Amino acid sequence: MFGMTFLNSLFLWGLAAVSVPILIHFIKRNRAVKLPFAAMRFLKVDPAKRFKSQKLKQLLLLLMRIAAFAFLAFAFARPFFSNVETGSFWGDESRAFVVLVDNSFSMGYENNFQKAITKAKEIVSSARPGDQVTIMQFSETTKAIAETGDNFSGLSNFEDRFSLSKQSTNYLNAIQAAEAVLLESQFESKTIHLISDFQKSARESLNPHWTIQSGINLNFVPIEISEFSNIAVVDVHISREHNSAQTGDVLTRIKNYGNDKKRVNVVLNINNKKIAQRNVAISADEEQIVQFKRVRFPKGNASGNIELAFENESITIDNRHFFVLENKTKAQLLAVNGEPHKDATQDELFFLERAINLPDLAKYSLIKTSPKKVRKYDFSNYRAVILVNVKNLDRETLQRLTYYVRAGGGLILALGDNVNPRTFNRFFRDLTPASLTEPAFKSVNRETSAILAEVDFQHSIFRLFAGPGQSDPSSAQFYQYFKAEPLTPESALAFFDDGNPAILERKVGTGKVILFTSSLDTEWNNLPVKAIFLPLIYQILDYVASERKGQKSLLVGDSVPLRNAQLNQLNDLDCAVKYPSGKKVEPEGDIFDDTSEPGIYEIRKNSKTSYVAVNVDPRESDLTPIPPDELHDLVAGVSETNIQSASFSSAKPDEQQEKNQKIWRFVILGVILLLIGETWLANRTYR
Amino acid sequence: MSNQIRFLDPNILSKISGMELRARTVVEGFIYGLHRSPYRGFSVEFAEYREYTPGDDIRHIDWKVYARSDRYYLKEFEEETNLNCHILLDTSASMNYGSNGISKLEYASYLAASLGYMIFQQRDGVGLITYDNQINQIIRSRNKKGHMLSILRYLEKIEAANESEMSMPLHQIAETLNKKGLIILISDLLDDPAAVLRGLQHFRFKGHDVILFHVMDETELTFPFKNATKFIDMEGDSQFMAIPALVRDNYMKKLRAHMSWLKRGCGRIHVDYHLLKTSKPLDFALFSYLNHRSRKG
Repeated sequence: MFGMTFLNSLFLWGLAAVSVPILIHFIKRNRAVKLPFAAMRFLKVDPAKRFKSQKLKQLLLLLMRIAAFAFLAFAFARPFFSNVETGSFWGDESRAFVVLVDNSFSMGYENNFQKAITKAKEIVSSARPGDQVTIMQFSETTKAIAETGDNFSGLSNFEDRFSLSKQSTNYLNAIQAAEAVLLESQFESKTIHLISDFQKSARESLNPHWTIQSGINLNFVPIEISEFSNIAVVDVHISREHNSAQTGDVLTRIKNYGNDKKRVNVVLNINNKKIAQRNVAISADEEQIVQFKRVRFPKGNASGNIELAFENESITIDNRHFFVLENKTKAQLLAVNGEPHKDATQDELFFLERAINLPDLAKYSLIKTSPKKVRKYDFSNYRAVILVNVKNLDRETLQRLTYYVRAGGGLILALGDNVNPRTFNRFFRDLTPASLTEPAFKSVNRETSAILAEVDFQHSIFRLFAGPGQSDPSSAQFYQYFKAEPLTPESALAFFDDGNPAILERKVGTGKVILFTSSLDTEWNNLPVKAIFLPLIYQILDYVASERKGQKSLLVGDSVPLRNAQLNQLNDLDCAVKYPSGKKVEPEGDIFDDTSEPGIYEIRKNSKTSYVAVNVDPRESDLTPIPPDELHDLVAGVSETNIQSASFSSAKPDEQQEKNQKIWRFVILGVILLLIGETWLANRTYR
Repeated sequence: MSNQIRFLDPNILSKISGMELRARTVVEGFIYGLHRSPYRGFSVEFAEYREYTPGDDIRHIDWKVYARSDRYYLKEFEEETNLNCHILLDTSASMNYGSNGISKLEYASYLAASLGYMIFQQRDGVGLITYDNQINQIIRSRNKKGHMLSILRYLEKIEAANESEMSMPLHQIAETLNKKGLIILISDLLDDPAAVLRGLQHFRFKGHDVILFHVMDETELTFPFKNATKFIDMEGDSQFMAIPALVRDNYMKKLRAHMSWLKRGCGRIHVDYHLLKTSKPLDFALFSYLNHRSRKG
């Protein structure tokens, strides 16, 4: 795993040259002749001593010559450390290393978790006194479970502290946590040992724009899985009939990640009662949608789950998916109008309101308010917030809005003549995907107006318009808009024909923000009267709001925001949470984040009760592995890796390789010193 | 002369069987080289007259001169050549060392034989004493027919053993030889030089003339070894592993100090010191002997 390798290992044959001085030594050595001699009295000095010292010198000379030949061959072979964990050329300096053990629920497959713990123990056992060792387990969250203090006592029996979590894998969080530990270390040799099943799906947790700091070495230790079988409930979708909250369809996606065809019973439970059951056969690597039609839902809030019933399953936690049934048939959107007008046709929200509040078929309902009144609204009740031509908000509302977005809320920012770029940039700097630079482009002549010229059709907002026969984004004319400078080049999703961005995106926490640099009425453009307006608005709303699970459906480890009332009432918040296991707590602070077990959580706030479904991340159910070097490339930002050794260096290749191969210079220096010493000694030795 | 000298080469001598033949080869070759007959000049010759003093032996009074001058004169003669010479040969184990095909002991025995033969031919008495850490053999000085042969036979079978401990045997020999004479000591002198000198001084004290032939192998003098060598002591169990290049300087320094000590010490006590390398022809030793005798007049 660690050790020295050679660039030109053929030169190691040169080691045979060490036999040359040995042969010469034995062939040319002086054999003492026996001579009876008379004049011994003149020899009685200390010849024996001198002879012995000569023998020693000759032996030393022989060793020096052997060493010179050996080192020369060694230097030509260009030795280098394939893993810089050995760090120093001399290999005895203290090291800092972090052992990351994946404890996501996929590691519960067979005895993989135990294997990982064993590997961690092996790595820790290689630690030398003076090394700084930190052991962490990670899934979505990362937690240190043992570390060396003044001695190694902190590492004793650390294996007992490992526990399997119900969360998914997040490599980025784990590596960043380990990196933070190592950056504080004074030792030069820093290594992260990451032990995981390296699921393909977990690759998504990495940020392609982030790489680990140079100087930190990565050693990915895979837990090999040859073949596996696992079936999981991927998702549940509730489709209610319009105006009939009591009946609807329940659709669930079941996926067989394994290699064998399976037959399973899919059971629908609502309020702990078995409502329906389907028996389905599902082939290897196949996804099936199982539909329960015209299910009668109970009145009021209710919860349920889809459960897979079959035998011989190693991972069972993903065989059940929880959901919450709400009476609301329409997702509510909160629109803040920065410039309301008495004449409805002149109002900023005139077209948006009519686009959203469609009779019957509408899936959203728009609630309108003003910047002054918005402080009374609890954002968590709305799937998205739309700020239209809003100059600014009071500080408390802005804080709540920011918090809401970070917790997964959607925000759409539409501009207008009420917006001041400087004020906007200052107030919305934590939310806006771009800073506004110039007030606006004004085209007096509508003939020379701008159009949407460059659109990212790969983005889910515009994917709909990519096909033939769809509304043309360039059909609308824009007379006025704000020039904006995106925070990142990837932020802009659509550009005007003069190159200025028209629609931009920013992800804040788990929420999304869309900035439209023009207005949502016809004052600055004619978009609202074009055919594309309605689908574009719905695409944007679906993107920022529908994908969001909201507070009603979370993944294990997600946090539930509790602060959704007015800030000045927070201290009076009476809040209690009941776990799926029945345990009750009264959480302190703004967030309840102990969603460590899947199930239905009952949250009571000020005598108002709501339910939240917490499920395991279905991506974690796919055990298909990915070669560790692919992940390494992402983390270390290098293109060439040594797969065979499963031991990687994250430092930049040229720099690192050069550093690792510097050894030959020291070896050549050693040869020169040896030859100088040999010459000096040979001149003082009888031959 | 070169042809004759060739026969004095110790290596060639070693190939001649029989110590007598070797000695004769050396001495006759040496004498021929000098263009002098070895058979003349040796007789009792008149020297001078000296007035009688009380205590003189009346047998030496020249009565003819008394008849003519009515005075007592003693007739003095050149001393006769019946010199007492003892050759002291070191037979310690270190004398077995040799590098160029001839050991120090062989060289020393050839030298002893040659000197003895030459002295014997001069009608002087020759004796041989061998020793190591003790006296091994004493053949007293004589000039009778067959005596030289017994010396040569002994030299032929001589063997070196034991360690050098010259002090005691030298003192014992000095005490043994009461009659003044010539002492020729042949040794590698690998012993405490002070002890050697004390022994030699004992001879001088007893009135002997002493000639010291210091026999050394070429390699002992130059230490030319190159490879790592385990030197094994020929006179003991000790052994030393050494790289020659590293110990040479120290060895040579000690050797030079040793020889310098001996040379100076010999000079002080009037002992003729001659260094002989085993690679050198034996005539050098004979020259040294004759030179010594001529000086003594």
